[in-house]
Amino acid sequence: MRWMLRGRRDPGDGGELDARLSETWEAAAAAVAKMLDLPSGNEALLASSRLQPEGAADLRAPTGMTGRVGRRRRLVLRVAAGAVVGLAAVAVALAAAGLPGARPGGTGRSATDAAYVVKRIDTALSAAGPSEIAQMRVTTRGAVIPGGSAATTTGEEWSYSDQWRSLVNSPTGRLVYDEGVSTSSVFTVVSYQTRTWAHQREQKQSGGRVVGRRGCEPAFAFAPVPPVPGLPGPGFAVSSPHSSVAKALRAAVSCGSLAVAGRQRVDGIEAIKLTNAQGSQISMTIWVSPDTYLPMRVYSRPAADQQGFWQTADITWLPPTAQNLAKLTVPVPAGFRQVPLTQLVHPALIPIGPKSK
Amino acid sequence: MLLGDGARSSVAGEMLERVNPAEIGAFYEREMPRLVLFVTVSTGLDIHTAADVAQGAFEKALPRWPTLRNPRAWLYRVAQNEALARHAAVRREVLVDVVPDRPDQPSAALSAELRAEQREVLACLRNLPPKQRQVMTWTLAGFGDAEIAAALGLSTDAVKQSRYYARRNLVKRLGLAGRNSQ
Repeated sequence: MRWMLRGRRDPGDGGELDARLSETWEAAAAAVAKMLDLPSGNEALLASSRLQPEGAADLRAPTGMTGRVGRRRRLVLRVAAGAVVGLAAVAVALAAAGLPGARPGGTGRSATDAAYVVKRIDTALSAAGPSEIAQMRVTTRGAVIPGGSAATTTGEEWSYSDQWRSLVNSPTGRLVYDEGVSTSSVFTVVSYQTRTWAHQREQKQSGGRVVGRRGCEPAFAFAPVPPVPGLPGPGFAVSSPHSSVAKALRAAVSCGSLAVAGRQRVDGIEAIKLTNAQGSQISMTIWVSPDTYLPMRVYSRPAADQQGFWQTADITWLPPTAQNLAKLTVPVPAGFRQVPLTQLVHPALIPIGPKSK
Repeated sequence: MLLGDGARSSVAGEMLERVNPAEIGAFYEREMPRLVLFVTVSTGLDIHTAADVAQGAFEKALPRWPTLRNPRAWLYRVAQNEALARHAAVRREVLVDVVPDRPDQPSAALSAELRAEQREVLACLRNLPPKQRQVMTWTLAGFGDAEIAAALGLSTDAVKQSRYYARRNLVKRLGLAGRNSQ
């Protein structure tokens, strides 16, 4: 840049300051362009070609821009109508472009920031849903039976499109259940405690159900809960309407109750932290990667006066390579005995109603 | 600000006909984010208000575009003046019992887009004394000493001096002193 080459140079910086300033300025300008969602030059040109031919009667904002145009658009259009149509396109583009988030007085900034971040997360999850495997390590603490003693268990889950697999460990870390749904919608569950297994074709749920009422509960139900001591059957994962993790997370972040709560280091990355509003039945915190906007960690706990589980899910997003896809398959160890599903899974834990074999 | 009667409209119309809309579109695409950044860093306004200010500056520039000798400098100057006016207005309006946002805290959304070291540089810039900060932001926006001097009402020597102190402060605050010394 021009300014680097003139003026007195400070001793000791050796040009590093110039480099850092220049890099930061360019990165910040790009970030501003991205967050304000400005139209590209092509959009402005497109607008120009649509608006140029006739007079004021043809002054229309390009498709997709009209929803964001307010007072400024009307003012600019008035100028254009009275003066020159040739610049109307630019005027409309200007009017449409600078306004997202621009509010007199600058009030409600955090809400807009949250909306922006949530939008980016939603877009990232929407893209990741069909293209990446969500791998999660889940730690759960809570009492499965109300009033019972709380236990901490760990589990692993993989979710990819309609496929999923879940491993549930006992509090001592031993594998208890391995379960999942294959590409052909066959649900398989293996009990390592009883050395039995069962499988059954899962009822298809159109469009993939979203976890929770109106999809507005946290991405809580995707994770397994501790196996019930003394009760046969795996944890909650079997009974949950198991939409993909990406869909569940999308539903959770799209409910409008999340607010940006700064940055926090997660696995060496300064993740963006979002928390939901106080007063919710379940308190949820999501940390998302600043690079991909995909969730890295989800923490949920019941509200102070509620019973439930404390869960932390650390999420890694994997490409669907053959090696990674193999993680979605539930292997049945040799020597395990096949039994009806109802024998393996406690009836109380199969409300989704897979047909008995 | 904007044209209200037919006579003025026709004059403006003749002027605007000499302008290539595509050229202005490209200029807008390139300059708008930089102008927003310039406003938010130099005045401490939040990013959304800065966007509003930048937008207003472009709207003011549009009817008089062909008559502007240096539209870019004019745009930045108008934006800066408007931003300072808004800043003063906000300060007048804020009640004493309202806890204001930290002036050096950039928008979370903007921060989310930047790496830690870039956020640090931005924070250091925003924390410079006002005159140094203004000179540095004008410099980073690519303006020459004479243009900065005219915009800020300073002599070119004063601009150079402010930039010298600003750079010295930044080197110190960013821990660059003594590194890679030549």
